[in-house]
This record gives sequence, structure tokens and C-alpha cells, in this order.
Amino acid sequence: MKPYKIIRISIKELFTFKKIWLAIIVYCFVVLPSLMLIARNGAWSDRGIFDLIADVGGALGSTNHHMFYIVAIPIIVTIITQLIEKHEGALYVITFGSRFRAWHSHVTSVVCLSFILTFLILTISFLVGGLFVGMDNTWVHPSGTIGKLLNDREEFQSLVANVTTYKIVFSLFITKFLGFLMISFFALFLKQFIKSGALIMIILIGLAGLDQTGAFIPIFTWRATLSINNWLDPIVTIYNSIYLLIVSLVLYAITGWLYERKDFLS
Amino acid sequence: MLRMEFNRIVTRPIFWLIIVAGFALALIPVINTWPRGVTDDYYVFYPRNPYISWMFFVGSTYYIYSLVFPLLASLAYSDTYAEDVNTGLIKNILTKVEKKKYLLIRYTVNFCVGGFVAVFPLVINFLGEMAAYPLIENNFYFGMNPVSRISFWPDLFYNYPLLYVIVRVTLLFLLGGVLASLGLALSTIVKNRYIVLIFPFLVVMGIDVLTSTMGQHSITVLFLGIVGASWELFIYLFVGLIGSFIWYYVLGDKNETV
Repeated sequence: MKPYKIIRISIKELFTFKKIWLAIIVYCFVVLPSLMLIARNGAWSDRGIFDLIADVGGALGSTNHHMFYIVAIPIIVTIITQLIEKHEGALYVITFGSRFRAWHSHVTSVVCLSFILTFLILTISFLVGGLFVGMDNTWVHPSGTIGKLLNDREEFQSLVANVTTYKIVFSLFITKFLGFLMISFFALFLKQFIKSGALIMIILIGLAGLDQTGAFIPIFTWRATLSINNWLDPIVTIYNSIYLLIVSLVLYAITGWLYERKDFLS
Repeated sequence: MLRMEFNRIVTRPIFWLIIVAGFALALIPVINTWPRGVTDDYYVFYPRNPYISWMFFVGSTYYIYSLVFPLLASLAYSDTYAEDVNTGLIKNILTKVEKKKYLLIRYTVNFCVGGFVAVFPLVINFLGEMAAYPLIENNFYFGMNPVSRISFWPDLFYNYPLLYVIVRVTLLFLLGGVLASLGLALSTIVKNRYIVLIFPFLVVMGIDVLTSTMGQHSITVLFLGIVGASWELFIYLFVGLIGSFIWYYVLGDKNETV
């Protein structure tokens, strides 16, 4: 089977769950605006669209930490669980010709899923955020959240280049995409040992909760959130992105290795 | 049929896995707060008892517990109706038991198992804290004040702390039962066991986000937080209990199974 055909089949498989996708879109349209409204509450600065999308605290907003365990983890685990349970079997491997190709069809599916989810969440966030507060980037103004938080005009002027619109959008896209990719690979990895999708979700939400408590150094979804530290020192975003990519690659390698030894007949 | 249900619960690996997870959630805070290198004088100046050391107020794993609470409640037994229908076991059962009786017993057992599994970490943690600290009285003015005047029933906490613990555990038991029942009720129309198990979690998250948007206390904060008691607590329980029962009983009875 030619590689492009594997990619085509993988993407096609992803969209076989039409009802689930419809439910996901409805769920996102209900929950994401609500998360934005929660982030809007208690405004102490000139709130702009990015305050609603990625609050400087790191937890609130439609793309920050609360989104991960309310939206991203349930959606990713649901899709991946259904994908594996529906398509995985001896016949599936025979269709692809080898375990290697069958595994890479799953990898293609999770990469596409991460990309689609990132695109969906950001699109809804910008559409709804634009309706709520307009599209103006208030973070570049001294009256915006970053300016108020720093309370130092000189320091703010030196940092304003870090919060230009295209840099924020780029950071949002990269961190969310890599965060979703890591969650997807984690779910695929756990699926090799755990049959119950709900149990996988408990584990992933538990890890996300552990990150939020701050009891240990962040190892999971907190790395994919954007807080004031990321804007004060953009190198933090680069480090976090590299971390997410490395974890994803390690999980890809380990799960691929396990997949090569998997028994599809029993 | 009750004996069959009991045998089924204890042979489900997922049930024991949740119990083990419950032990971990309960005992990690006990280990963290276990008194080390303290003298008798320590308790004179810094009195501490199990009531204020309970994970409900200071637990390091409590945030994780409150996040996974709906999943814990549903995971233990909510998917059994869907499992019975998918595997055809329901046909065997209904040859021996009347359908309405089967539905009633299944609902009751699922409610009790969901509630038990949900409160299990809190109970174990309290017992662990009882092993660590003496059962002295709460004193609001002596640093033993996790429950403020605007919190949930402060008079009960300072006068009858054990009763306070029982009330909170009972409320959470009922919430766990209601959430497990929601999953069971959904299984009358959806036979995908995974969807059935995560449904209560999505409902809680959805209501939490919507109520927070409207500036109200969310379900999680009302039941698992220490905010003041309000009528919403009982409304959620009443609607959840009656709603899930009617949904499950009516649709379950209508479902053609044999």
C-alpha cells in the first residue's frame, strides 16, 4: 500500500464517527464561550480577546488549562477509543499489509485529530471572542492586562514586542497542537494496556489535575498552557514546546514498539 | 438477584481498580500530614484533629479527587445495563426475574455502588487521619477554623463535628449515586459503554461551566467545596434522583429485550 493511501484511509477513518463529531462541535460551541465568559468576570484591566482566550493566570480562558480537562481530554480520548475499538483487528492489519503501516495509520489519525481540534478550538474562540469584546489586541496597550500587571511603563515597552498579535496566535497554535498531540499519544499508549476508555480518561484527568495543583513540576497539560511567564520570557514557550514534542516522540516510539509485538488474533 | 449483583460487583476488575485508586487518593494526604518529630507541647500550641486534617479541607489529592469524582461514581457499575443488552445476558436474567424487578434492583444496586465508590476515598482518609490525630474538639479561635461563618453549616462543624462529616459524606454519597444513575439511564438509549461511563462527567462539567458563567456556585463547588449550604444542593439531588429513575425505568421497561 502506498503511503499517500494510508494517509487518505487514516483521515477517512477519523470522520467515520459523524454523530460523535456533531456532538463535539455542539459541546465546543456551548463550553468554550462559557469558559470565555468566566475569564471575562472580575475584569481589572482593559479586557481584550486574548484575555478571554488565554488568561495570563494560565488556568482560565478557552485555550488554557481548564479547556484541557473539560474539552480536550474527553474529546481526544473519545475519538481515539472509538477509532481503536472500531478499526483494530486482524483484518485491519492484513488490509495494511504490516503492523508498521497499521500503526502509522493511527499516528496519521492522531496528528490530523490534533490539527483539527486545534483549528476548531481556535476558530470558535476567535469567532466568539470577537463577538464578545472585539478583535482588538489590548495587551499591546498600557491599559491592557500585561501593562497593568507589570505596572512599569519602561518594562512594558520592552516587552510589548512579545505580545504582538501574530506572535500570540502562533504561540497559541503551536502549544495547543503539541499539547493535543501529547494527549493523543498518551491515550494511544494507555490503550495498549487498558481496555476501558473511561479509565484512560480518569488517568489523564488525574495527571492534568496534578499539574494544576502545582505539587510537582508540571509534566503534562500545564506545559501546553500560556501564562504571564510565557509572555515575559518567550523562551519558556519554546522550552515547553520542545518538551511536548519530545514526550510525544517518546510515546510514539514506545507505543510503536509495543504495537509491533501486539497479538491481533486473541 | 441481589446475590447475583453482589457476585458481579466483586468479580469486576474495574471495581477493585477504583478501590485501589481510592486508597491512593485517600492515603497520600495521610502520609503527607502524618505527625513527625513533634513533642506533647506541640499539640498545646498547634492543636489538630482529624476533622480539620480531613482531605475535604486540606488534602493534597483533593483537587484530583474532585475532578474525577463523576468518573469514579459511574465507572464502577453504570455500564452494566448496556453490557447485559450487548451480550444478551439480559435475556437469561429476564427468564428468571420479572423485568420491573430487574430494573428496580439494578437501579438500586448501581446507585449504592456509585455512591460507595465515590465516597470511599473520603472515608478512608478520615479513618487514616483518626489514626494520626486525637479526636479533640474543634475550636474556632485556636487555629481550627477551616469552616468559616459563611461556609456550610459552621455551627454543626464546631458543635458536632462527627455529624458534620457524616452529613457531608452522605450528601456526596447521594451525588455519587445520582451520577451513577445518570449513566445507567443513558444506557437505555445508548449502548456504547464508553459513552455511558463518561456521560455523568460531561454533564457535571457542562453544568459547572454554565453555572460559573452565570455567577452561581457550580455543582463541584456546592458539593465538594465548603461554600454555604443552599437549596440548590437539594434541587440537584432531587431532580437527578427522580429524573434518572423515571428516565431509566420508563425507557428500560419499553426496551424490547427478549
